Amino acid sequence: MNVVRILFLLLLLTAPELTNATTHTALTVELAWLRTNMARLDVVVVDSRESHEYAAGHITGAVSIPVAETFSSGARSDLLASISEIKELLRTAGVRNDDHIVLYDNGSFADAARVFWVFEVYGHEHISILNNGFEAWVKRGAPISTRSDTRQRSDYLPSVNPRRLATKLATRFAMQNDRIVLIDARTEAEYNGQESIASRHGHIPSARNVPASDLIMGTEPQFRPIDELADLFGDIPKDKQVITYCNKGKHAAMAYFTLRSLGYDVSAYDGSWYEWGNDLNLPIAGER
Amino acid sequence: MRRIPIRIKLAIAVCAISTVLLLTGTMVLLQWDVATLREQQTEHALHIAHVLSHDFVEVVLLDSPDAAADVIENLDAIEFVQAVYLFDEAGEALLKYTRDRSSRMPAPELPETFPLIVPNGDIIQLFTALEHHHQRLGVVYFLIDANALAPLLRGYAMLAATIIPIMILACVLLSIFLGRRLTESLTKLTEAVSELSESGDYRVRVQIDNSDETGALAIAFNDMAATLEQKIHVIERQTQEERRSAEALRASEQRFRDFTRAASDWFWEMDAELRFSYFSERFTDVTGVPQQKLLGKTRQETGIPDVDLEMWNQHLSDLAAHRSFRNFIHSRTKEGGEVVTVSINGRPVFGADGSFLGYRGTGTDITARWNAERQLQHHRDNLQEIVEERTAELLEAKEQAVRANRSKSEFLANMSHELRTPMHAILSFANLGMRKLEPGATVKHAAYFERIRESGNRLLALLNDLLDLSKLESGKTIARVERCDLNRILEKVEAELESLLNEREQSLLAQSSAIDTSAYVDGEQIQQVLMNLIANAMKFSPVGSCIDVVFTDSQLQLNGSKPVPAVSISVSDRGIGIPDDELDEVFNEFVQSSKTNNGAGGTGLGLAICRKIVALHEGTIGVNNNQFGGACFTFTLPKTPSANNREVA
Repeated sequence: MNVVRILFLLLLLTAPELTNATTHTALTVELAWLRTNMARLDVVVVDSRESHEYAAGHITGAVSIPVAETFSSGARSDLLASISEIKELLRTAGVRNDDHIVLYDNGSFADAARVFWVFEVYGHEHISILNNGFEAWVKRGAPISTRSDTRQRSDYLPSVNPRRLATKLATRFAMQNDRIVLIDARTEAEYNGQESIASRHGHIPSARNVPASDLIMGTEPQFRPIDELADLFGDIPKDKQVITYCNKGKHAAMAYFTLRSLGYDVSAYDGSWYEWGNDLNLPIAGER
Repeated sequence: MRRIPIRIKLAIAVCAISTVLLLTGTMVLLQWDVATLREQQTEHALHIAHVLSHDFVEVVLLDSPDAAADVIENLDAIEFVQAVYLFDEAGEALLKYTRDRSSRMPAPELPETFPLIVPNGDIIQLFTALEHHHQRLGVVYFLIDANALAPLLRGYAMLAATIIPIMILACVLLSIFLGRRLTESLTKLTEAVSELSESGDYRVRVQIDNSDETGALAIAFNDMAATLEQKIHVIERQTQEERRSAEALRASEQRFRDFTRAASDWFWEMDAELRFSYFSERFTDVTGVPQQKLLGKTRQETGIPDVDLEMWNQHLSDLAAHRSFRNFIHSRTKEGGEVVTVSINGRPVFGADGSFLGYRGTGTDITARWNAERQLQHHRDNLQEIVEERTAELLEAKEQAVRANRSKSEFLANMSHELRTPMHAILSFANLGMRKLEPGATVKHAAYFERIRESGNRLLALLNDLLDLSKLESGKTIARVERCDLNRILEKVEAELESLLNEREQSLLAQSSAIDTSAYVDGEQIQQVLMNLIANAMKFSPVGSCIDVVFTDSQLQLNGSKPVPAVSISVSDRGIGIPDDELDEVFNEFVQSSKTNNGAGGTGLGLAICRKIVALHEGTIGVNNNQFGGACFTFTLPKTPSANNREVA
């Protein structure tokens, strides 16, 4: 009997740990889903447009977190807002750590994607983007409001997910690493060095150009179907890490969101071309 | 379990012990290691936490996600750190890190004093103040799981799970090897014992050089085997001898049994009390008396019916006196009425000390001999009587025969005499008829008379012969002997036959060589003999041939006396001779040679008369065939007269 007990113990010790089955949140939600689920207490609809746009009319119950708030209020306004800023932002908006955040913007997806990335960097788990702009919502006759909807202040406590945030150092490291792919989400002209917001023209060496405009389609913009998007990045193996960048982070966030949807291990370079293009110490490619 | 060999048991025991020891050792070691490691781990964790707390200074100062990302990346690598909470100087939570990102662990309450370590079993809580240039920036809270030893333990377990079976296997192999070495001696002993018990070969010895208990056991075993071998050798020899003697006894018994079965006699025994104790099977076969009827009984008790009383008493007295006896003969009547006669012999048997042990003897079936003897006795008693009876009968028969013969001869003599008288009358009248024939009578009549005369003469000759023979046979004829010269007699015969010789152109050749041909004979009778013989010779010899008459000196043995001088006269013809088997027959009455009896004529009495006359003269007559054909009749006559023949004075 003792032998059996010992063997059982050994078996327990060697057995693989049971993985916690986490409820997987869909990264994209449709209008219908939102109309059904918007009344839930744990669903927080976030309007990422400018404050005045919000004031002019927004989805009923949505809270306003303008995309500008996700940028640092310090000297480097191109960078990510600080820990304390985000903490305060989310607490004020009344978002709790476990809430399911549903983002929307005016249909460009640049603002929503940016906010999506920022919240993921700060460790939020459940975030989705409404696969339509506010216009589409309005056209569907869904409930809208002009009243400032506020939620009770929360005790949101941010974390930081290092896998979603690429620093300058990490990007530089990725430049020379075959296992990490760099995606330039800027326009083709910018990639080729014809245009630049920085002092230098060109792109980060080894980066490939996937313009953010290629990711969406239609007059009432939507993300392309997932199989079409997969074709855009089809030659990138799923086991490789991907770092996206653009000029200041919004288009990089769109590429980031797309790659997340496709299941890549992806992060975005916070400083983007604005930082890289102006840092004379960093190498560039495609310079004219 | 009892059937398992010792070396396997040993191996099992060693394995069990080593397994228990190994497991116990491993457990103790593991426990000790875990305790030690936990202590070390705690210390290590606290140390790491202190180091990390410095990184958080930067995070607080910069309030930058980049800085936080760096720190948290590091935290991910440090497994025992389960959670980290960063508080600002006001004591408000700023940042959280949980290893399990979806954890909803609430922020802890900040204590009054720092640093503070709150150990709670495996969980250690650590509060560290963040200071920069002696100014408090905030507080970091670490939740450390000292039980993150699981991987270590798992490693240990894996190692143990790998090594322990290997070690056990090694133990098994080693114990089997050692067990074999250790039990080698025992195995040898066991094999030797089983070989001994199975094959029974007590020459089996064990060779063990050890000086331990097995060595002593081997020596003891060898001694035991040697002793056993000796004893068994002795027993085997004894058994063999016993078997041999038993076989000899059995053979002897078998031989005795075969003898008793084969013998026509039977064997019997009596014990010291003279009671029958044994009969061989043959006894019942012969006498028909079942053995059971006699066994255990004495002679007096059994008795014998119809026994000769004298012999019975003699037999009983012999038995009582323990004497040997032979031929106690008595008869028994079997069921079918058959009577058997038996003869019993016996001799007493005495022991080595001279004590009487009983009788042993045989019995013989003498029925056949007994009956033969009795019959023989009976014959012997009657033989003389029978002989006398037969002799008398024979004498009477002979006399009757002689009387009958004499009557016949007398009858013949009388008849011949009586027949001659009318014969003479016939001849006389035939002669008279011829003489008185008229001159004119025909030749025919003369021939008739001549035929009558000739036939009469022949008949007369026959009658004369018959008369002579009859006289001779009847014994009325006697020889009147006188000294005669046989040559003279021959001359007379020749003269008498001269005309006949001339007629047949035959000659008579007499050879008397210069001997004395005179003898005492009846001249007329001898002349008749010669006449008969010569006439026969002439008759059977061809015309013109020569008849030889030879006189020779000879001797005759008469009635077993000394030989007397005699003269032989032989007459040889040139005829066809006489068959050898008829040489004696021709002298009998009315017998003629088969070669000459066809038409030669004659009465067949001549030679018979010759034999009678010669016999009367006590001579002999015989015939044999000449070498070159023809018969030669020879008669021999004594020269001196015999007592029976009267000499004519």
